[in-house]
Amino acid sequence: MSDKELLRIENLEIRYETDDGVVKALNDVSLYVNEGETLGLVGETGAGKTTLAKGILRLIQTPPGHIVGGKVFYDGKDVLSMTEQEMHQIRGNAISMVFQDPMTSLNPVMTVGEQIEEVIAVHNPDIGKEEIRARAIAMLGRVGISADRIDEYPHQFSGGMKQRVIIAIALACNPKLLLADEPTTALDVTIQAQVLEMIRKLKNEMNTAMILISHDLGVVAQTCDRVAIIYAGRIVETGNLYDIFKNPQHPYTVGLLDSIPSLTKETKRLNPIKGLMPDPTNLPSGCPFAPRCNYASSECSAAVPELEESGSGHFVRCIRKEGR
Amino acid sequence: MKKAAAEKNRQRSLWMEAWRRLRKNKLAMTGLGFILLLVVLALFTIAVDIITHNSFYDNHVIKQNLRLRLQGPSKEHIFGLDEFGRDIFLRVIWAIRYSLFMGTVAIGISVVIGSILGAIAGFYGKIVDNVIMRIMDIFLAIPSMLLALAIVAAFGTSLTNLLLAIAISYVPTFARTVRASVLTVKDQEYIEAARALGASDVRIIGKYIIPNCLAPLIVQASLGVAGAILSIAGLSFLGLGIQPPTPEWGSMLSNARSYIRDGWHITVIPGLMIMLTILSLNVLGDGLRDALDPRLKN
Amino acid sequence: MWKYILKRLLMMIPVLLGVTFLVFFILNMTPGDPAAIILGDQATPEAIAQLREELGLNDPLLIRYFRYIIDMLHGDFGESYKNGISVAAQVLDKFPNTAVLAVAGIFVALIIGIPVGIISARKQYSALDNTSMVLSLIGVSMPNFWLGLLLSLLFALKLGWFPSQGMGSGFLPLLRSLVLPAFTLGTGSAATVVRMTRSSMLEVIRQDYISTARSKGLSENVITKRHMFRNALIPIVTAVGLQFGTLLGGAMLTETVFSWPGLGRLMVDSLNSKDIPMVLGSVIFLTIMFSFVNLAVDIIYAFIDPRIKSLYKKAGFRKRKAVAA
Repeated sequence: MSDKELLRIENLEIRYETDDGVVKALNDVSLYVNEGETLGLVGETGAGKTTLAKGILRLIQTPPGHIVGGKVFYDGKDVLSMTEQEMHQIRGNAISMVFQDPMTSLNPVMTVGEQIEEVIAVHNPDIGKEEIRARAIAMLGRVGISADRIDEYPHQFSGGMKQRVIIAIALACNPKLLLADEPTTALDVTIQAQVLEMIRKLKNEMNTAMILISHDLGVVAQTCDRVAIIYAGRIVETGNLYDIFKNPQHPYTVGLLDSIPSLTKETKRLNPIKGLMPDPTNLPSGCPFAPRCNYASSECSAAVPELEESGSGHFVRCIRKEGR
Repeated sequence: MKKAAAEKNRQRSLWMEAWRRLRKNKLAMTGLGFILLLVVLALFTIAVDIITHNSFYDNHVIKQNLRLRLQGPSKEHIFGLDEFGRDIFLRVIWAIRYSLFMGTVAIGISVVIGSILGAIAGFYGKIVDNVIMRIMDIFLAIPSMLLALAIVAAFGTSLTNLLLAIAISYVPTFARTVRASVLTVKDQEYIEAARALGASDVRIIGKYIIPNCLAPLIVQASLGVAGAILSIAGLSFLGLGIQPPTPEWGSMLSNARSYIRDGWHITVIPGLMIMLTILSLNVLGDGLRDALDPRLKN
Repeated sequence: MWKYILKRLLMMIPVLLGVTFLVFFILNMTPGDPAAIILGDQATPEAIAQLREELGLNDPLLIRYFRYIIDMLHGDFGESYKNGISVAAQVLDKFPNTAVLAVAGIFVALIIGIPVGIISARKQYSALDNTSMVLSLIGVSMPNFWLGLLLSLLFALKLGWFPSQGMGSGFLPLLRSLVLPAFTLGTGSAATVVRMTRSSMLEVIRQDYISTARSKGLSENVITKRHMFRNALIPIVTAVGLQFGTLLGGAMLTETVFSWPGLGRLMVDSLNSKDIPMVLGSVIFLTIMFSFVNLAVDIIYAFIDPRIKSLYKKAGFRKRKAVAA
């Protein structure tokens, strides 16, 4: 891991224009990822996590989605102003993505081998067929699948094995950055740990940075160096793992931590966060969390608070400065 | 009892919601408008026939006037005159009833028969299902136009036989549609619950299963009427449907075939009527499908 | 795989027996005494009675049906009432003409339908998409015999580019005479194929594996060709298979419009002269052809989708339906 910055997102805004109104999926999102580092992106369903990952690769379907503002820099280059041709060079090669549901993320009518070979071939136009196949077999081996299964079809694999294939596809070209969108959510609990451990091992070996999207703080605690908490399309708190888990500042982060059962602390019942996330077509004017916040005052609904530094590298978007 | 009322409200609002969506679909509403216009015109011609004791029909729709044959469109005859000097506009309007009403009645018959067979097959399953659906497979194995043709050939070319032929050839389609919906609904938990509360088969079929089949059935039926009208026109074109001098779009085209060199209007007008009618039913059917099941909409 | 095909062939037998019985039964209701039709107006009652005996017309329906089936298995579909020539010979004589027409019609349907459907789906809601949707709606709504009349009015009578009647002999004349009937027959199917291709493609475009393909850095053209089209193909193949049935029925109308010497016209002529064995033979023959097309469609599925292929290998017939649905 180094301190060299690999990805920087500045004030990214993404909207979906639907029949029911404009969904403000991402608002003023800024974050960075250093080489080899793992950033955990945590939030509820609908907070904008997947939109953020797809936005980085410009995979948002237009219509209805539009990137309306902000900048994304990969290795110093402005991703949003690249041509479609240049994007093809980035996708799958420099930045890869692993999608949430392994059951539907593989093409059912192509063998897994073809699907791995395809990404190697498109980014290495000058190597021969034999070499491509050899690399695909090697990649399968690295995710723990034996070479003799290379000509099988996705329906012949279990969910966990499918996700391994998808990871093999994502890592086949040695990307600098891996976007992992809830890679283990759809899997059995016993398989989850195996797959997660494998991702961690491979990314360390290949020195790949990762944005790990999750709603599971336990997974994040095991895997990540830094964490960003996202709520209703805004980053509400970001910092290193220790800051977030031991010194959470935003009431939402505190609520998330309180709602996981602890083995060490004696608790009678869990404290879920009351209420639901606001309707993204109709966000409240001030702090989006204010309607659910125990500490909310009239000041909170006046304006969206700025993201302010509360300690070295630890940023919070809340007008209350002290913990709780 | 509050619950039953709420359920009724919910169902009503589903239909209202579908109607609201349909109303927003301009194409489907145009189609519906054209169909309604045809219905009004057909009822009007029937009224004229009753009031004048067919004398208007005999003198203007049927009576030949060979002196003026094949005359093109003019102020007095906006669609011109046919090969026997009859006004094509009047003949086209008088023909509506055969296509539209016969198509609707034929499909009505097959909807009823098909739904009953499909519901029985789906609801009782096992041997009953097997027997019914294998018979339906036999009907489906024969291209529907051929089946209709064989029936008309055997029983002769009368209105009733034509109706019967088309109705029979559409039965398997509706049986399949209803059976599929019944199968998806049958094992839902609320059916189990109703059964556990002692509801009879008839009550379960009437109260839960039929309402759930209605949406696909309505869509299929509107497309079916379009198909039936095409079949009526096709069989009449072959001389196996409605016989001259009775005005019918397909048989008008059949006669026009011999005079195709002598005037475009006798070929174009009846075909245009068939096409517009089918087109209206198709866009209405598509609109209904989108309105009743928004998930299917692209 | 072979086991599956064999199984399907065996399953066709009861269906075809059912079909023959149904058609035999229906056509047997035809009014008029076949013996009288064969012998004509001058026949004496004695001669008619004798012929009835010879033809076995006095036997019960079921006996006559079994006799028909057994003859059919020997390739004997009886003789025409009209000219005494074997039905099988006449059907086989005319069928190639209908087959040429049907294949040309399907060809027209595919060559127009698939590209237009794909482009429409990729540019959903564009002017091009809207135009092709309106045209395909008109296409499915147009009675093909009317389209045939309009085409021959314009391209044969007004412009004189193609013949309006009959079938040319020799390759080029045949091709020239085929153009108008093939377009007449194929346009409706083309419109259906456009609509089916578009909606099937739109269904596939939404799938997660298309996002995966995009995230690999593949170009849109490669994604369309390699990932979307093959997955979209099953409903398209199904639609084309069903179109064959419509086409065989439509062939009667098209053949009548263009005086094409095919099976359809033979059937219509036989119907008008109450030549029941001819009608019976043609309907059964066409139905058998239709059944084979359906079987071919199911076999093609296996080459498109490996999931269906592995089900076929297990030869589980019921499960196949679950996947296809």
